[in-house]
Amino acid sequence: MKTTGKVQGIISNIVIVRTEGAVSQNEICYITIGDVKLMAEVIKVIGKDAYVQVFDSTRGLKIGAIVEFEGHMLEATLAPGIISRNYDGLQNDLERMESLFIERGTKTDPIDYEKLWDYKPLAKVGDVVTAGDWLGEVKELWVDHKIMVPFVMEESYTVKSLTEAGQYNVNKVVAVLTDSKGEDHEVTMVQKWPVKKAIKGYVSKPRPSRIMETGVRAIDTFNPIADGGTGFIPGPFGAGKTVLQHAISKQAEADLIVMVACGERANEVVEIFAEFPHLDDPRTGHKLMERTTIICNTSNMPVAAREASVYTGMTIAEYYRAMGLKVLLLADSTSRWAQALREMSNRLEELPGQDAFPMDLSSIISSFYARAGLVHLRGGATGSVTFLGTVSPAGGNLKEPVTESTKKAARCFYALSQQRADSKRYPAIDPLDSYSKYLEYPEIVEYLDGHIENGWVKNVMEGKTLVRRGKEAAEQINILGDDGVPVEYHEMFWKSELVDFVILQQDAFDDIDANCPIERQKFMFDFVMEVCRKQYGFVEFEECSAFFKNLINLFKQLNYTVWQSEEFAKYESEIRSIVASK
Amino acid sequence: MTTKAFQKIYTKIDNITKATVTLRATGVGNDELATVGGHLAQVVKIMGDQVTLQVFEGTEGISTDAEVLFHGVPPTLKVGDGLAGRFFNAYGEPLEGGAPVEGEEREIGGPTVNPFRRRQPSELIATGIAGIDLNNTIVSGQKIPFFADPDQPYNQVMANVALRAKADKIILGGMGMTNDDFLYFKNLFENAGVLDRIVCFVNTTENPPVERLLVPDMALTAAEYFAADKGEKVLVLLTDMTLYADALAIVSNRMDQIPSKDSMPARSTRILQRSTRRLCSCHRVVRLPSSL
Repeated sequence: MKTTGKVQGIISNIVIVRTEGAVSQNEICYITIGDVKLMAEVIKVIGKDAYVQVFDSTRGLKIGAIVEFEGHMLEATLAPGIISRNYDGLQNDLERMESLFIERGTKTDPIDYEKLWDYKPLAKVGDVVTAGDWLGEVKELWVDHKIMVPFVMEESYTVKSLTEAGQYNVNKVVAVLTDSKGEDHEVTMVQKWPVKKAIKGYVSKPRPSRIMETGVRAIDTFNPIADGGTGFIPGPFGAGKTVLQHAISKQAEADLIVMVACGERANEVVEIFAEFPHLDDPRTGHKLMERTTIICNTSNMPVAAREASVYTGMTIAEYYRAMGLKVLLLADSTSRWAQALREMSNRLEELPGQDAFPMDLSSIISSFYARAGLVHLRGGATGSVTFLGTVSPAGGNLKEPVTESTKKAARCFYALSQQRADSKRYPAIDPLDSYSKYLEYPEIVEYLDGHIENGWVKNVMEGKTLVRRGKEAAEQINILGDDGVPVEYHEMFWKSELVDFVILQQDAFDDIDANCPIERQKFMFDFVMEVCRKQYGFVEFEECSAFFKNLINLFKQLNYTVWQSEEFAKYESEIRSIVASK
Repeated sequence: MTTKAFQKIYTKIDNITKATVTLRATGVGNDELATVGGHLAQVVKIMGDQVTLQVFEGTEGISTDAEVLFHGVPPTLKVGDGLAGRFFNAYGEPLEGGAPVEGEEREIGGPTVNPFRRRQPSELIATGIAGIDLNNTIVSGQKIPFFADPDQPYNQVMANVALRAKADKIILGGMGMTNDDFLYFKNLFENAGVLDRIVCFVNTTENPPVERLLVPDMALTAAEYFAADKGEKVLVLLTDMTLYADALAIVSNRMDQIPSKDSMPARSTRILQRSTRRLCSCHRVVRLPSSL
């Protein structure tokens, strides 16, 4: 018997409901208005009054409207057919909505319940299984989509019967499991999971031990993100957060990408809708859309669903991780989510924290970032969720609460600087402010030694030092004047410019330069460092700039040339002869 | 907005603040319009039978026994081809007299566009201003904020953009515009002979500030009509969003809401984002003069 209630008060999208029975925190309810039902979530209970946030406009709602409580929290539907869908924050399929406008209360199924899938069982009768164990699989596009013991079934079960291989829709019972009390449970291909809880169902969560290639030199070479790691990109308006995230979503070495457009401008998502179905994934040859799922709650869509959208994205990512896949979750931008939290907190008349954000902002953010990670699954496979969020700090102030709280939670920090963006040095990742804690992990150092070259991290640190000293030299030159400093200062400055122009800067709109594989990054970085290690002994500072400008130009040509082509070799030997001649 | 025969008239107001009145009433919907002693108001909060109304013109001179009438509908705008070439106040009533516009009555601030049904913006809007065209191109279907100090000629720049853009309709939403600026726009459009392409919703500094809250939604409802129903290219100019945000702060302050950052209401960010809701074939230029 469902709990019901009546609307007692309305303040914008917070509705106070007088309940007749038990309600739980974060329970979902539906408010009837005319012939539509508005979805809402309980966020506070006082006595018999439940405060619910409505995921839609409350226009026209009246006192006394009937509210039905569902008895469960906000859930994501997990089943074959999620990849390449475009959802709103509540997992409604946007593609199935026919009209130009999204009318209030519109709901569409997240998956196709009619479609037949080629199913084959993986488990055997008599196996002892628990949440997350693989029972069977279907082919979803190119992915072996595992049908698992639902994550809510956390006890130990014995497989009583399994359905034979064949074509079925998702509602087909594929297995019957018996629990310790002898009761039978039927399992279909569909399961539901409350989005705000982390999906467990794995054996262990080790420290990340390998890096995830993104094809962006400023990330992979200087501050790599680990497979199963977390990172965030704060940057002021116009610094290129979205272009960088798009580049990563196109090039990252992941099996699946889940993109959450949270409170961002809709046109940015439209670009993905329009381009991804046509672009090829360079690694697999599939279309990019075949590995991408989009959760889209743009700035004009209901604000309460924003919070839901990041959780829905994470839940989908965790679901595919449990199949042993490498999933990259991108969220643009978590600041808008924090703003939604701030609005709700304000409505509930909670005492505000710093910048009026709720006091628990920091813990909400860190528990969300903690859901990412590399996991060992039962049966030996590993899966990972790598999370990269953007933060839009108001006025470019990196000391504001959202950036500060995220900094505590995320391991990589890619600070986009307005100064670099203004001087058109893209990607505008600041080489000195940014960091990757993974470079300090012994596991990662060992991995990089083995996969790139011995002593790689040491070289990278040397490169960072070079950039820092170059900046210091530039400041001295600015203060004391060109001829007021030793010529070595000029040399130091120009060497850092060489690293900046050749390694840090990258042209996202050039077919070749946009995506730089790790092998090429290694070559370029080693080459640049080799050139920089040499002491040239210039006499006049004017010589310095001419010499290095020429080198920068040639190195840039190298970046734009097909890897190891004849032309590439030509530029390479030209650089070597110039360096040797000096 | 005619009075229906069976409509209930309330005559007992409990509380009056500078911008809101509270009274006991039943059967009232959220966001609904009402008339309080002849002044237009909108429902902003309902608690049991206590209904709080935001009076657009301010509550000066309203007495506790003023007549309160609920209209049963949220603010609407009659959309039709007759909108073109006209100047309206924040309620969508024609300024300078003239017959009301005939057409379909539409709720303002209605549903949002499905992002999946949008098209990718790709068409350049040439403004003839090198600083914009070369460095920060305006693309059809985008929204662009202009940040400026009060001494900068932002209205002139916007007017230039408006006249040079090859748009079928130009919708101007003026919030807290000085009368001089309003007349500047009006004369400019008249002299350029583009009046038939213009629709104006104006709240000048002479009008009560709270009325401004209706302007963006009015302008966008008209824009969506021309863009979505008529398939025209529409350029929307909203000036100035800071004064709009100030009006939000005033209302929230007078309702005793806890102020958020910089004493703005917490919802201001969302409202600004929503008010810049775009259509697939609709140009939009928004001015945000100070950092928000």
